[in-house]
Amino acid sequence: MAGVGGGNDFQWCFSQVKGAIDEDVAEADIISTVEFNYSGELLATGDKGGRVVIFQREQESKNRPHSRGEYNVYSTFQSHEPEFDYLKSLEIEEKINKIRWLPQQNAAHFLLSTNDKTIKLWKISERDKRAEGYNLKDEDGRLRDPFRITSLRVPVLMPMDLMVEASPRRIFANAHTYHINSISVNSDHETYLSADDLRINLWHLEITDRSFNIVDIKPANMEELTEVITAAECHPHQCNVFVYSSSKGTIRLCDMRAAALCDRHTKFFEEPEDPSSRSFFSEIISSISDVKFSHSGRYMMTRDYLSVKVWDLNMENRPVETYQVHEYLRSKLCSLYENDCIFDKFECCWNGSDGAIMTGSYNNFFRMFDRNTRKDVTLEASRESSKPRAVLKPRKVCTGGKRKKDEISVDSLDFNKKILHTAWHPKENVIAVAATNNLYIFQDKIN
Amino acid sequence: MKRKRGIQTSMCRLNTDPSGKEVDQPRDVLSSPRYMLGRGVKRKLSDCEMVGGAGPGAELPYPQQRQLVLDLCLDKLQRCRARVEPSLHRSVLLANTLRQIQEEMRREGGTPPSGPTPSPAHTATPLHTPDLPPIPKDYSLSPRELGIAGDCSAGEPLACPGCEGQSVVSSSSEEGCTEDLTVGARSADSLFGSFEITNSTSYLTDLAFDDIFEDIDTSMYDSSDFSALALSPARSSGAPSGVEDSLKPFPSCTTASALQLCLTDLNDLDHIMEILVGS
Repeated sequence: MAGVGGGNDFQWCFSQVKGAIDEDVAEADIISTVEFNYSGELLATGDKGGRVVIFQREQESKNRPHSRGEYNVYSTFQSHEPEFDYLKSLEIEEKINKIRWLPQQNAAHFLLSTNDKTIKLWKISERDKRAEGYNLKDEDGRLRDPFRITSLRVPVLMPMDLMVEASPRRIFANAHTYHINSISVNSDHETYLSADDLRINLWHLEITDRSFNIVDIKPANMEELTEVITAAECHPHQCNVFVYSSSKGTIRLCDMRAAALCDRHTKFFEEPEDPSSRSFFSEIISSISDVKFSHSGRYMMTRDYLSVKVWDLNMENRPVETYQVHEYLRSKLCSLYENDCIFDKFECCWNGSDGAIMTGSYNNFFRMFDRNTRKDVTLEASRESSKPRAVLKPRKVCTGGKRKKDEISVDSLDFNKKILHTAWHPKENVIAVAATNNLYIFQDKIN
Repeated sequence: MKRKRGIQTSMCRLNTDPSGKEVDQPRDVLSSPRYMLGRGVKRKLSDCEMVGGAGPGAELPYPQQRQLVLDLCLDKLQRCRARVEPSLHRSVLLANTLRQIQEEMRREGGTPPSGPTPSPAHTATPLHTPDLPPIPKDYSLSPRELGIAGDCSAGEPLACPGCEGQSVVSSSSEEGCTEDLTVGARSADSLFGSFEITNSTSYLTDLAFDDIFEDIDTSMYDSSDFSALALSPARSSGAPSGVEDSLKPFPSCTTASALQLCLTDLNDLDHIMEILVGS
């Protein structure tokens, strides 16, 4: 299933779009994270309004062979509310920074969601029966006068319409002074880590009043601070290994067996800077906005402002692959700096077989790279091409010289339309792309 | 759509090549409201009008490019600080960029700063933290305070190695400023009149702070956010002058902000940056 759709393998086609069409976008509706669960049956999004929306894939029906499992709303709940920290006189935004699913253990599903400060464990469960026939309570649920009850009646379970409930099971608070940028469930399925700008904590999923600080890069004197943690993730198979990336473009791999406090890294991944491309913005654009292990655990991928790099965990001095996401912006860095776009945090994701990677760009463009063929493609998430099963046309940005037909010039890119969050189904070629307040779902075309 | 156009026109190209060719400075940048207000980082209109008029492909001299980036940096940092809880990530990136430019200017300037060269990290990173309304820091107490701020949660020894004998200030160029600050802190009435918390900090520090608050994250006291800007005029008066031309003084502004008062030379610029991002 390799292939990004640019070649002969297959083409991407539109499947669904979620969210309002309105031009006026409410801030709270902007999607801030997207995540498939381990089976790909569920897809969760979080938004700036603190809500989590879970979509469930419909079973493919034999009657309608062309309708491949569509994702429909399964559950919506308010995960985080705006809060006020009275001690520090600060407002805490409700924006969901990250969602991570736990591997499914029983009929219920669990996920972790976090805003800047507080992580919550949610249980999403179904109920399709209810107990009826109590005689200890009246219809309003009030207890009856026990003296008027003369017999004991056993309630019976009656079928009812399916109800999906989301309930908060654990709240992990007060462990982060700075903004949480990452959460990652460990492969032991018992612990997870959470990272903020300066520290990484390790939690047990059952224990909310205690966490272990495993990385702390806060200098004694904050004036000496020149680097922050930008993302962190647990290794998919080795529960003692995790990585974290920094604002200086480096990645540190740590082994929790080495010491309780992993201030000393085990491996340090860094590519020497190319002096020829040095500019005022070198450091800003080298800051890593996302790091993701491949499913195999052999590689990891990092996203900086202009590129995606794939690193072999066994080679620290340079990445094995580097893909330019939007190199044409290199000459525009000054403007992007001026309008703050240069601080945008693009995420990246692997496909199920680790053969392809995807990341976002501006103008509602997103990019896919096939690691085997080295082919890449630029696609657009737009309402215009959102007819059922419409094939996505590869887009091209004109990079100097004469603009050809169907090409878009760099100067007419819309920098307000950015795709920061994308997710790839763990087993199939189904992708979810968050474009501001809309969630696009694309699939490979079936012939 | 409106916004789109705005961005397009404000596309200035900054060549990645440090020799800096082919930068077209848009007209719109300057007419953007940001620069019209007395933000303290105004650039001379003529700088850009010329270039903007020349259209794309016009060359903006490297020093001016740098000045542009520097101005934006200061502007962004200033706005960063104005926010209730600024992004630490962003502040650090901005501060590092500022340092880099500053370092470059110093090297080019060829006028070695009097006294020992400040450490590379002398442009202090902006204090961020969930800070309260600025807490003036009494510098004489800060080493200890900072030691505590080093956080015991990680199981580090409480006696922070950096605490003994070592001054917070690492370079002599900063010392001048520190003196001012210490004086400022002492005669707090005028400068810190509005911050009543001053004394509470020192009060807490006088106590066996770490013992009492062992379990509490004291990072909110990490960094004082004293109103350094208010202090800068004190120093500016005696500042020596003599800088290269590339360093255009910031035009003086109508507002009373200290930042705008006194950017007359490189030393002062350094000083302001130290203060703006540091404290």
